[in-house]
Amino acid sequence: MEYNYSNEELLKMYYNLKRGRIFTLKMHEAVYGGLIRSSFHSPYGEEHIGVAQMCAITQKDWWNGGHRLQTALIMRYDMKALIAELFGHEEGLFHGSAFDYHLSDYTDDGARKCFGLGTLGGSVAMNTGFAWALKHQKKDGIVLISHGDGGCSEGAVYEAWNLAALYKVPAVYVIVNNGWAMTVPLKRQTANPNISDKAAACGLSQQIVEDGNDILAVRHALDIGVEKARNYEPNVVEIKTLRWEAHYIGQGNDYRDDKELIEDYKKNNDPLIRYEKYLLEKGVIDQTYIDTISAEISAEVDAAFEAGKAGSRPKFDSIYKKEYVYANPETGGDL
Amino acid sequence: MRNIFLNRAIAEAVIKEMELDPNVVLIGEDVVNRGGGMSAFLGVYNKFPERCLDMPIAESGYGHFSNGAALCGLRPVVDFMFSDFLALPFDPIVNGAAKFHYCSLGKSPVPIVYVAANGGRGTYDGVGSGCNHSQTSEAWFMNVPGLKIVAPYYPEDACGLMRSAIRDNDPVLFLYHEGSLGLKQEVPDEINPIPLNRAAKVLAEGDAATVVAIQSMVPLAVKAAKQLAEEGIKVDLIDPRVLIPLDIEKIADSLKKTGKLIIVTEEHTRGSFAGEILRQLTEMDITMFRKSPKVLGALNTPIASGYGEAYIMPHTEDIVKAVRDLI
Repeated sequence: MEYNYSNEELLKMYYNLKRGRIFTLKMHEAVYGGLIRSSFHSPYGEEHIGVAQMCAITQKDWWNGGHRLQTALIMRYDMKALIAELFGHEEGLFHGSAFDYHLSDYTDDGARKCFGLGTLGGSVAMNTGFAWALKHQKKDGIVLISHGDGGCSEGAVYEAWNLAALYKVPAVYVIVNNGWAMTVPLKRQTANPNISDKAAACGLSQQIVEDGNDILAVRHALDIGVEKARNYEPNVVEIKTLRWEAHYIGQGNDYRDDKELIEDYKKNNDPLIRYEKYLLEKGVIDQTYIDTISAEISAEVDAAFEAGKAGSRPKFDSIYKKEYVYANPETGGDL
Repeated sequence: MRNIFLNRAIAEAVIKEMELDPNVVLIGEDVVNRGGGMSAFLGVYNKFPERCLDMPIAESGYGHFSNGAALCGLRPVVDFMFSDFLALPFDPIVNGAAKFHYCSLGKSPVPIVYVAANGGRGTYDGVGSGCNHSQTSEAWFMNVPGLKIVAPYYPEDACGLMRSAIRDNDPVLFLYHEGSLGLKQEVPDEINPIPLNRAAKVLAEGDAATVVAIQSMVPLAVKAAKQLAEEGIKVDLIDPRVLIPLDIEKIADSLKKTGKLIIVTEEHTRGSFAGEILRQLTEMDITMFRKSPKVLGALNTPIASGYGEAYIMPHTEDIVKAVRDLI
C-alpha cells in the first residue's frame, strides 16, 4: 500500500526509529554492564511502534507509554536525564525513583505522559477516566492508551473498554500484540488470537495491523484511530508484531519455542531495515544520510551513557519527603 | 437546629462542596436512580445531573477510571457501596491513587474520596448482612502510605469530615458506618468542615480509664460510660473519627491521666487499627500504662449472616465489664 506522507514526515519517523534502535542496543549493553538498577523491558524489534505513536499524536495529546515504548520516551524526554533515571541516579528525571515505566508528566507544556501502573490492566482504565475527564471539562486532546497482549487478559481492561464505549471518551486503545506475556505465549493466554475482537465486543471500532512491522502501516492505522478519537469515537488498533528478547534483558530466552521465527524476523522482517530499504528505493534517503545520522545519534547516545555512568546514587532527601507522600502533608499520616 | 439522618448528612456535604467547586463529581453505581447503592447521595443527581456518572458493576475499572479523572483536574467522590467491595478497587486505591503523588515526586495530586459503608453492627442489634457485607475494612488500608482514612459515626461528624475530605488534595477513604444509615441526630443548620487533623473528640470525661471507641462501638461506649458513671466510675471516652491522620496526642493525654486503656472496635482484633493505636502509644512512652491495655473487638472468624453477627461483636456490657476489670 502507498501512503501519503511528506518527505519531512518520512524522515522524522526514520530518524527516530534509527535513534530508537541505537538507544535500545546501548541499553542492552548497560544491562550486561550492571548499570540498570531495575529491569529493561527491551523494545528491540518493536522500536517503530513507539515512534509511530508519537508521530501520530500532537503536543496537545496524552499517552501512557508501556513496557516497550522507550523509543517514545526518548522523543518526549531528555535522553541524558532518562538514561540517568534508568541507572537509578540522582541526576535522573525523578532522581532514579521512577525508572521508565513509572514516569509521568501531567503538566500541560510537558511530556504529557500519563502514569503507568505496575499492575498493568488498571492503567488502561485509569487513562480511560482521564480521557473522560478531558471531555467532561471540554479540554482539547485525546489519550493514546497503549498496552500489550498480556495486560489485555486483566478484567480492568475489559471494564475500561466497556466504559470507553459507553461514555464515548476521546481515546485510542493500542494493543501491541507481540505474542508473549512474560513467558506465556499467546496460544496459552487466549483462545482468540485477535485480542481486539474483545474490545470490539464492547463497542469500540477496530483495526488490526497484520503487517505490524511496517512502520507506515502502523502509523496509518494510528492516524485513523486518532482522528476517530478526536470525534469522540473510541477505537482499538491491534498491532501484530513479535517480541525478540525475553520479557526483560537478562531473563534468558530459553523458553521460547519460536527461535526460528525470531531469526527470520531479524533477517526479513526487521522494522528498521524494511523502512530503510523502502526509503532508499524511494530516493528519500541515501547511504551517506544513513551514515551521517548514525554517527550523530551514536555520539549522542554514547555521551548520554557516559554521563549516566558518572552519576551518583540518589540522596535520601531527594526521594523521601512527607511532601511527596501527601499533597496536603498537614493532614497526612506519620511517616 | 434540625434532625437529619446520616445519609442526608453525607449528601448535604457533597452538594455543598459541589456548589462551591465545579470540579467535584460523583461517580458510582446507582448514583442516578438511587443516590448510590446505599442512598448516601440522595438528591445529588437532581441538583447536578451533569456531574453524576452512573457506573456498571465494575468497581475495579471505575476505581481506576476515577483516579484518571482526578489526575485530569476533577475531584471525584466515588461510591463503592459496601466496604467489603473495596477488595475490587484495591488495586486502584492501593497501587494507584496512594502512590501517584509520591511517584511524581510531589507534582501530581490525586484529590479523590472513596466512599463505602463500613461494618455491620449499628444502632440495632446487628444489621446481619453476612461475610461479604458486614466487614470493617480500615485495617486492609492502614498499611498503605499515601492514604487518609476517615471513619465517623454520627451525622454531623460525617457531614463535616466529608466536606474536608473533598477539599483535601490527597486520596481519602471515607468509611461511614453501615449501621448508622438510619441514625438521626440533632445538628446545626450549617455544618462546617471539620479538619482531618487533630480530629479525635472527647465524648465523656473521667479519670478511671480511657476508652477509645471506633465507629459503631461509639454509641455502645457512650451507654457503657453512662452506666459506669451511675456506679461512680467516670471514664474518658474518645472517638478518633479520623484514623489517618490519627489524633494520637489526645489519646495519649488521656492515658497519662488514667493509666488504663480500653480500645473498642468492630474490627477483627488481629492486625487491627486498634493494634496500631497500641503500637504508637507504647513507642511514645510505655510508662503511661499502669495496667496492661485491653482490646475489645470481633472474633477472628468470618461473620455469619443474620443473628449470628451479634455473637462475635463486643456489646455494651462487655465494655462495662472490661472497665470494671481493669480499674
